[in-house]
Amino acid sequence: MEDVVITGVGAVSAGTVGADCLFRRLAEGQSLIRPWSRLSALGFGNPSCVFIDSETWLAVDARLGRLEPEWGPQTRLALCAATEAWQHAGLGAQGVERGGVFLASNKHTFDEIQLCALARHMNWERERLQLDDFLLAGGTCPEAYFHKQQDQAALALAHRFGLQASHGAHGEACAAGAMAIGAAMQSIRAGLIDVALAGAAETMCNFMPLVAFSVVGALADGEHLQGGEISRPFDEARCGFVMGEGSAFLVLESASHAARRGAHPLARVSGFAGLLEACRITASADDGSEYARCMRDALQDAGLSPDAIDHINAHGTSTPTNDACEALAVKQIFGARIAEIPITANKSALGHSLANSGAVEAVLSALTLYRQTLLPTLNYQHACSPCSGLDIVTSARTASIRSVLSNSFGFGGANACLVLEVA
Amino acid sequence: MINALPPALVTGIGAVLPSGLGLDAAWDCWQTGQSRLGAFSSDWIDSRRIAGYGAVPQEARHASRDAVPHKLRRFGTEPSYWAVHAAGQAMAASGIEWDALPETRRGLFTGQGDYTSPNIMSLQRALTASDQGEGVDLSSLTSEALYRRGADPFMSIKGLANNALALISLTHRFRGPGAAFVQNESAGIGALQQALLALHTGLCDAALVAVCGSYMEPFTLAELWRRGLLLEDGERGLRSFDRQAAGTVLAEGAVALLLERPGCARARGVEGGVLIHAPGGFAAPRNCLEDLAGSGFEEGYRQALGRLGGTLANAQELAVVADGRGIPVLDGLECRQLAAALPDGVPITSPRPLFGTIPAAGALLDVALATRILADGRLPPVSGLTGPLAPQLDWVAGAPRQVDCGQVLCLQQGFSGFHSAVLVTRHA
Repeated sequence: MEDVVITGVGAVSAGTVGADCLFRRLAEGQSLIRPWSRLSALGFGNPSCVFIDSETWLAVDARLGRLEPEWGPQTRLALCAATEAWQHAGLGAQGVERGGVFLASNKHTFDEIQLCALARHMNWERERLQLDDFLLAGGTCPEAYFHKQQDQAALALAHRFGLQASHGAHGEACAAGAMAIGAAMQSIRAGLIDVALAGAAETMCNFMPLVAFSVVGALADGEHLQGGEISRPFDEARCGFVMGEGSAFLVLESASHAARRGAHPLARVSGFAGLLEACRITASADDGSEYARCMRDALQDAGLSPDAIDHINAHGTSTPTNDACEALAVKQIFGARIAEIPITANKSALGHSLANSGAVEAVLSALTLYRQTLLPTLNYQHACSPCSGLDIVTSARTASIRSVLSNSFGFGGANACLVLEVA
Repeated sequence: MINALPPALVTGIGAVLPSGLGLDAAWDCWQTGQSRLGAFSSDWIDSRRIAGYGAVPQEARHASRDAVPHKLRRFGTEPSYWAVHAAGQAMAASGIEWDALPETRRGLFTGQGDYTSPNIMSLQRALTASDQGEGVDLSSLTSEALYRRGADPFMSIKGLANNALALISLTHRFRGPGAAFVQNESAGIGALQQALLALHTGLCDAALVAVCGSYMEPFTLAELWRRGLLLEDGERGLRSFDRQAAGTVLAEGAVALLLERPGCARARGVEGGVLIHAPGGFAAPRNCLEDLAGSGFEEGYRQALGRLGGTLANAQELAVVADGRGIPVLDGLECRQLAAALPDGVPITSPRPLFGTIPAAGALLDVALATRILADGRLPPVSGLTGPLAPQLDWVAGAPRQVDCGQVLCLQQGFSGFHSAVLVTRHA
């Protein structure tokens, strides 16, 4: 069985191009959450999110070269982050014979302008759409179909980097990023491929996703807290998550392949579990037992006991139920020792970029191991009852860290946990 | 280092298709040449420009809805309901004693193609309330959606790519490894690959691959029409690989395959059957149809075939189920690929003229039908093929052909650009 190492990382987030830059900003305690005038103009009570602004888009596109018309927003972000990871790994001009792409995303759906254009052709009394009128009105551009397809970014990466041995476009909701990384790790471990680009891209700070996640009660409504204060995982005043977007990629490689080309690993991916709960569709088991089962399986996969874990990168969405379940779960796994394990929730600064969250948190976990520096959880002040007794890191600090458990839990009962260790 | 995963035994198949419930109905249609494509019709979308559609019939829709526990229905889409029904069929057909198989040893790997939610009806109340006759006021639309219950409260869940994964796992109690794939038409192939890996690594003892999709969403229909991919003259029909081809007909459905390690299946008394081998795939350089003549496509096709481990050496035992969407530029390209990649005399067929282009599930339907080709020794024809684009190839046309093939190669090229090749062989 092949050992799997991380040899490169890349990330794009709001106002930030580059994984190192992102790590540094988070270490300084900066929040990337800010109000967006576009959402205020649309009437959103909570216009705060972690959105890719126009300056960041310019910086992203400047790194891509000629833009193909089929590349939608997710593809452009993915190409930028993956290119950074690829170069970071020192794979720039080298061909990889047995390489794969494993990418996670959610559907980049229509926006409010397109919706209104379509609505003009809707007879609401009869509840019938005159589609031909919409067709003849030229309501779509020729590339629109490809801009929203979730496999386009994987396709672009496979072609750009010559990775043709395996392809996986994942969509397991908020666990998808970690699922993609786990699937890549399993393929390398099994000896099917030598190198993988694994990560995610998400562009959800727009009308339909914000409405969709608001009406299901997951997004903070902005009534009690505003701006960067909203996202406060494990804090008793938490009231929902803040939407985020971005992209993050890792280059995973078999240890033998990395050694042959003299690459220096940042960290190892030693354990993964991607499990289904079959509990409830919008929430996990109240006692945290399903999250705990996934963590336990990941540790077992890594061949580690709970005592070996030095740090937890929590899913930590800042929703009341999720954080409580996760807190109960880590207590089940780690017992009394949980008070000594530093926990970080990156969503406090990055918002929840859904599929991308697991990927960017894996990137940050790898850098945490490499730099032996723990990142802070912003806005954590007072623990609620289930969350009491946790060592929530509130400011960056150095520490001796050998291994990290990174959690991702998704709607629909898809859970994924990764174990990363020092190289 | 290994080049391909060991094959898995197919022990159960389920389907919800334009032909109705079950694979038998689809197989019968193919053998008798009965098309299940009809005029475009929907309970809320009118179109004459889009000439045809392959809809799941009403009785199958009702049965599928009934297969989903009542409390879960508000969270699901129709394609996910179909996947739940197809999953149940495959589980029942496998003969596994499910009560004896721990839920945590059941793996579930799903694929969704284009999907139907969210759509404009998800915001019906908000849109009607915010349009006072002069068009929709956007801030009013937001307000109605967020604060006056103008939006479907569960559209986020319906719109996620793991909707089928969630509904099947909850309905049929799958609590082991799982994943949801979104590779458009090849989503089912991605799911199949991950299922084989999970079986190979011992993460589960039974792996269910369930795939579903529908194109019945206005923006998707409009975008594909604008791209020039859809048949507009219903009289011409979907003519795969034919000089008269004038566009494809979209369709919908779900297919499920229950896979086991051959040794495990044999241990519980399963004899014979059909093996599915690890798929080969290729990501095309671009999906721009105008550029399809690039050599990357043909090279990719060869790579996909080459990854099957040289099994094509027994060409006399091979049959091919090709894609053939009825889109001239795509079919022309596929013909060139077939001519370049296949040995002479390999019979080629396609079910596409009868079932249309089904997102995600189409590729798995071909695999499911391949199991019947191997079991029955009959190769149904490419329906309606009278003037082949590539007459030098051995097309099965007219009547079904008796064949003595031991392996069937299923080929797909999606709109997005992912190619896949899956080999299905008879198990001794």
